[in-house]
Amino acid sequence: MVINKEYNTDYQYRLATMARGYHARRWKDRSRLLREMSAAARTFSHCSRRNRTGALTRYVVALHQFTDQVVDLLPERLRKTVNAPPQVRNEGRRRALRMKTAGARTAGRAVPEDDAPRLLTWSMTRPHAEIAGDALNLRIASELSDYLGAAGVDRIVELAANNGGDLPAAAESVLRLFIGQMAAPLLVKRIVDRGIRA
Amino acid sequence: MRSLLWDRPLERSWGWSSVIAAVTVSYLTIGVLALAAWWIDGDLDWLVKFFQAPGAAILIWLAALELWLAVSVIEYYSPDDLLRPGWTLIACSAAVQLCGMVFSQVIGVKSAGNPLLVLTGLPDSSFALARHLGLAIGGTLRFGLLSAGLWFALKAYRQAGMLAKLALIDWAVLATFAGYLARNVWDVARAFRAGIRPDIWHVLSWPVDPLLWLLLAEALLLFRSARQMEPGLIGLCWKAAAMGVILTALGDIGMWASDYGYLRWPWNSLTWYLWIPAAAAFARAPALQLEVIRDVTTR
Repeated sequence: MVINKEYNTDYQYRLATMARGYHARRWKDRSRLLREMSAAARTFSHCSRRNRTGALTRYVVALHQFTDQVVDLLPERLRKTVNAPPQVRNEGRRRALRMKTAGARTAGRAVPEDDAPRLLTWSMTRPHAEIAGDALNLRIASELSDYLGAAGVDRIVELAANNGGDLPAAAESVLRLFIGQMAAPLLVKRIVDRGIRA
Repeated sequence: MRSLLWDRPLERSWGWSSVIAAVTVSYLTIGVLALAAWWIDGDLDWLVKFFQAPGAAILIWLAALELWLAVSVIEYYSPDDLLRPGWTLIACSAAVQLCGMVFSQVIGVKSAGNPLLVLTGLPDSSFALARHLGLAIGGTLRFGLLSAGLWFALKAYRQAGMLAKLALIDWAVLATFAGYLARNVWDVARAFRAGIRPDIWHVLSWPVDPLLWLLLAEALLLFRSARQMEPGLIGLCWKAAAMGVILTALGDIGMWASDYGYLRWPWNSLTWYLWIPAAAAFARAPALQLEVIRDVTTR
């Protein structure tokens, strides 16, 4: 397999991230491959920060293999994107990078030169922005559904809305009933931490 | 049945819930082979040997496992937690179930595995006594404690605002079981009128059916509530407990149907197999709860 590292790594990383998102939401039963993909993506991200080229290449190969196996599991909309010709996917990638650059300009951060490889490196090495507000609540709700089920989470969201919108506190009060006051705060903390860093 | 045997709380781990499922499926496969051998060969010994040795062994193993896992679950709850007394009662019910199983499946049976038979020359009446004692402990006492334990689970669902309502089919099931209870009461009254005086073991077994009705109502409510929440790790434990109760009620009705000739030989032997998955479901309930809590507290 020929690896165009700059192109493939970014593409595969984004695919793995997408797959991870889908896994968290609905693919609980067929997720072994997706878990491996997301683990490989995380390792890749770690390696890329430390510029370990050998390790990076190994993980890109692993990601390619996982992707080949997992494409058939993707929903129709994503499968179309994956199977699209490379130039179409490249265009999407460039658009994403332009958007990131514009975002950085707005936030007053240093913007790298308009050079694709450098942009790519910059986009992957910059610190991940922390999320908050509705986006964080959405992530927390998504993680909670693994434990309480989708309808259970709806009930918690409703509860939080009636109590000033504090979703973690509402989740903890319900989880405390089922898994006890020792485990509930730990679970909520873990979910919130994961939501912020995701 | 899916929740009973295959739902795993965490995909990456093979905890006790998966071990219980795998062992139960293996035993049931052996049991079905023994049944097939009996039907083909005509030798009842195949079936008798299965239920006397491996069948009894797995029932005792599952009861012991249920006790150990339920006690382990209690350790993760603080004294103020709502479910701590619930799990304590469930652990007590598992303890009496284990005692009952040992009495009814080992000490109360004249088989090579009975230590009393090997050590002493006890009269036959001692085995019957041990068996009656085991059934009384594993019946009335077990179901009483279990229904009290499940009451706390329902309370947790109600406090969380997640208690579901019974469906029409559930009401129909409960009404049918109530009819079965009424029929039993009528039989007892008729026996009294005919001058038959029941012994103490019969009297001790009378609360079993009303308690089973109560347990069935609780189990259906728990099942509906857990199902209403849609798939989630926390609901799995209560779904398994509910499945255990439903299978036990089915087994109880099967025994009654055999005794009254509604389910004839050899078909009534099929109901014997219900006790193994029922015991597995009861053991899986604390296993699933433990796996979720351990995952939260150890990662």
